[in-house]
Amino acid sequence: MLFEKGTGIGKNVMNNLLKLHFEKVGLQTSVQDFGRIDHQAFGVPVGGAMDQKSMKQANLLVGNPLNTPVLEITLLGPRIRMEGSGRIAICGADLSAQINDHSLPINQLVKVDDGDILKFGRPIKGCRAYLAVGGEWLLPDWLGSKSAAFYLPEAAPESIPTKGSTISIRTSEINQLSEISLFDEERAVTEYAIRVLPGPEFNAFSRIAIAQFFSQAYKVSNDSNRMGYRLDADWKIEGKRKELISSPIVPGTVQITASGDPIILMRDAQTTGGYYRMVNVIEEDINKVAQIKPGEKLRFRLYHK
Amino acid sequence: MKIQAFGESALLIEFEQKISKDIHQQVMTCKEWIQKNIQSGITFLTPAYCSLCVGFDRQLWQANELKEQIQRGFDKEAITAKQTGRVLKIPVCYELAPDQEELENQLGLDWTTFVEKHTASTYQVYMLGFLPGFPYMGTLDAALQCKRKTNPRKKVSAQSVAIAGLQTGIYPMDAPGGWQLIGQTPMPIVDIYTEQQFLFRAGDQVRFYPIEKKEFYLLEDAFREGHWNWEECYE
Repeated sequence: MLFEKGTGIGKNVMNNLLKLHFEKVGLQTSVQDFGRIDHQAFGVPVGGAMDQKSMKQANLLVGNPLNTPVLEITLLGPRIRMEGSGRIAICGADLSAQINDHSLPINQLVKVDDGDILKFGRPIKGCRAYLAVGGEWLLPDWLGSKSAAFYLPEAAPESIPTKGSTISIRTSEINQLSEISLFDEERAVTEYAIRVLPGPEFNAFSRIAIAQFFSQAYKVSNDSNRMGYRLDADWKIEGKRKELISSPIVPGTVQITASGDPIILMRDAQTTGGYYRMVNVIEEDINKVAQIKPGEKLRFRLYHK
Repeated sequence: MKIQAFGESALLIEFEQKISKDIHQQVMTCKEWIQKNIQSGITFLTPAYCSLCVGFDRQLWQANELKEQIQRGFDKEAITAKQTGRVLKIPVCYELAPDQEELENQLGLDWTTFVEKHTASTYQVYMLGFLPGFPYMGTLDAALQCKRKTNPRKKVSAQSVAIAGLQTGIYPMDAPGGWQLIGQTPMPIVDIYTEQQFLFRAGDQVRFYPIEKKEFYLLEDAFREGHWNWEECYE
């Protein structure tokens, strides 16, 4: 333990606590890291931050290892009172973050102090914002991860903040922030292009079905969440409505449901499924899907390495 | 055996597409072969009825190299994987069966016969999926084969024993579900406070035995108070 000279014995300035007090939680706010990598055999979803690129960027900005947990904030953000001081950064969606009523731009390192209030307003761009805090998150692990488990909340209860709850971070000084080249700023688009590779049952679809699949834009349904994005197809994908013998799936798998609509399975999806797996979203673009809001549109494009 | 890329960092290995203990044996043997023979760069292995998903680290493997290595080295005829060796005896209170009436009508069986048939077989755990710890078990007596609920329930209670098609399973936690509910076990099947966490794993053999309501509540309490635990049901 290190002490600063002249500040009195026992005052530990290198190892402070920053406490996040949740005065409001927002629409869906949870702690996420890279998730539980090797427990699918027990039916445990991989989980983890929906947009892992933004999670990594936020951690980079505050000088954390990339797999440090972050707070994933969906559309309508929480209201958080800070106790103690530390450094934070927000990446991903622009949800009109403010510190004490001053607007806080995304992709920027900011120092917060005792009593500061972090809150959010109107969603401007994107769906999920990531709040990184420099230091170590003092939360228990379940199966090697601090990610929230919405399907079994008691497994990682502190990772799903509730009104009045607190998360503590042991902040640490850093000498120098790494050189960071930020960021390929994505333009606002009316239609997102999502790159995919052929999935296990791709060849079981007719050429007409494949043409249908790639030639239309899909609206993201309101019924979309961390488990999956349901898409409304104007032109239903033909054939292959019967179920397969249940078989594994991975995040990014696009299944064609019985109604002929595609569904993109996301990080909290179950580990097995019985619908035809037509394509797989490439890993980079799973992050992009995570930022698409219900009501927005996307198209699929075949990816060539 | 067919091996193909599944996304950018996994392979899907498919065996003959049918539900049988022999095919599942090949799946488990393949899983074991990979664990034993491929030392690094495997991130996860998910076995199912007749397929196996193999996750790999893209910095250490290219899909094609890994595919070739498995194809060259693994001989599905040389079955070596034993079953997990575990036989589990699971108590079920068949009096707590929300779908008793519907099933008696659908199958034309009285409940006593139903229970006799459900407890007569030894089931194989083919895979865990749908929910953490949910065992997909087969094969059900053909006389018990039923349809799923036309309207799935918004909430099925934890530890409900259920059937659908030729499968039987147990809900580990409260969840929405479309299977027919035939009873309830006092034994939690996920327990985050134990090291093992999950009662079942793929390859287990399972038998059910009937208990009355009174015993159900006694066992439920006994588990909660720590006088009765998972050890009791491993034969």
